[in-house]
Amino acid sequence: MINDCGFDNESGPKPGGGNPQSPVQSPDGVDVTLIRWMLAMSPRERLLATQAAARVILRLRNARSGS
Amino acid sequence: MPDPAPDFLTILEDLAAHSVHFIVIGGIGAALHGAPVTTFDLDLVHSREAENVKRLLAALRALEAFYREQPARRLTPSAADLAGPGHHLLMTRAGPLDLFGAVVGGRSYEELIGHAVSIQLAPAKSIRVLDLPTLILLKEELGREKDLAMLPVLRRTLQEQERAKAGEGQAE
Repeated sequence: MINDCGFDNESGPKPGGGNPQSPVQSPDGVDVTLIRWMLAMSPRERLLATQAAARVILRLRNARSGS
Repeated sequence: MPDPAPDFLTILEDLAAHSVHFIVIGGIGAALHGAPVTTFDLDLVHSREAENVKRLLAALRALEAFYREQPARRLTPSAADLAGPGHHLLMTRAGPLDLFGAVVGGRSYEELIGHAVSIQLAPAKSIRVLDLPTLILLKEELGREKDLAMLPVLRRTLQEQERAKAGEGQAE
């Protein structure tokens, strides 16, 4: 379900980032592919993606608490 | 009754429809700049000028806003409350909304507006968002764990923005 919101829940290196000039993770562990994915969107799309992620997390949290 | 699912777009559109002067900060500000962060509330710095406070109150009524610390009492902010530098943690019919009369270092809307950029959410619908370098600066000054944790993502987003701009410049 977490993938429904478009956010990645894995922290490991991603396959397919073969360009050594363009690493997929920065030295501090930030997934650059997610940043590029967000930057490719319009501001409205970024807002809606963030909103969708928050909703999925709240839905999961409410499901766990049974409310 | 469960809290409403966050609908940040509705809150921003309602505020804009009431001609409220505000600047988006925090996680939503970062996300609007392209940072892949998750947040559950919308943080805004509002102008505390009297006419703007009136417009803000009207927008908050339309959004059915109340202080979320004591939800059963449904306390609502007054004009005097919103004219001060304090923080107002509200729940609305479209989710949580945090209003700040001033942020770290006592920075008000008037001090921050020079560091805000206009972002278009729809045709003829623009909002002001604090620029990414200033968002980073505020997080650094706040220095809380949750702010520091977000810094690597914000700094990398800024680098990627600059890299993309440099690429566009070379392509021209």
